[in-house]
Amino acid sequence: MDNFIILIQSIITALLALFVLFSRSVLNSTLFFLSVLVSTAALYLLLNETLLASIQIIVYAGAIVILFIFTIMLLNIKSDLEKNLFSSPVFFIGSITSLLAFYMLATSVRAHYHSPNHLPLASSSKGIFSEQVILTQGGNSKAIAIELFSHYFILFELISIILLVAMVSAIVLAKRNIKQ
Amino acid sequence: MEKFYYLQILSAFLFCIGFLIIIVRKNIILQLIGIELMLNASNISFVSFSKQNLFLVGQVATLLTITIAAAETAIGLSILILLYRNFGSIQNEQAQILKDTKGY
Repeated sequence: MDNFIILIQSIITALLALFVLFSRSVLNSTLFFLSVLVSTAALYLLLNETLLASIQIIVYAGAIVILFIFTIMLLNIKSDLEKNLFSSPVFFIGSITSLLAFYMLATSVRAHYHSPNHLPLASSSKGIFSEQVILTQGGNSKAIAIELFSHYFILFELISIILLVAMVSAIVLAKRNIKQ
Repeated sequence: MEKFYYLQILSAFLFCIGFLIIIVRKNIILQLIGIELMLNASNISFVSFSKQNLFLVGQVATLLTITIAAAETAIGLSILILLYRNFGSIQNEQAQILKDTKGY
């Protein structure tokens, strides 16, 4: 039953991603992108990742998509000038290339999961974070927080420095005028 | 076990759709959306492998990737506003002048 729900949700997410590609207006594409992100958050919820689902909705859907929509409204883009976009040779060659890439990725994933001589990962080399262990640690958020602030705290500090640099450089870039 | 298989296939599909968006659409906003879609696909793959093998590394990496995506979007959109101010358009074919070749 769990597998079936995840299959249905994956198909919905893939269809929404196709709508992002094929819709004419930029604002429609952005809203379909928002729905892709929300259904990805639903996938995380189906995997019992509550912290990741909420952060996905807050940061991606709350901050990034709002930034995109704000830029679209600021620049006042009325229509995009791509009339015969999906009959051009660029679309033909690009779709063949990405179908080929998808075929290669899918066959390698299929060989990993369904090959007859595929050996599953030995239980000794697996991690320790089963559902019971996470429950005894006090839930999903607490387990991730302990892992993040004990083993990966240098990465955490680096990420905060990257955010600071990004903020400063975005302000500097937006204030500058090239012609001077 | 089957659900992780579906999630890996979905991740590969989303990655290829993001790639196709970057190639086909000429609008820079949509190309940034394609990059975000590829990052999202890699997040799904991280979380799926990590849940399958009982680690927490994938979840931590996904948190950091979401932060990187937010920083990258802020810088990309400010570059885009700069492009629009200087070229009057956000089609990437319009931006073909380097700084020193303007007078020639």
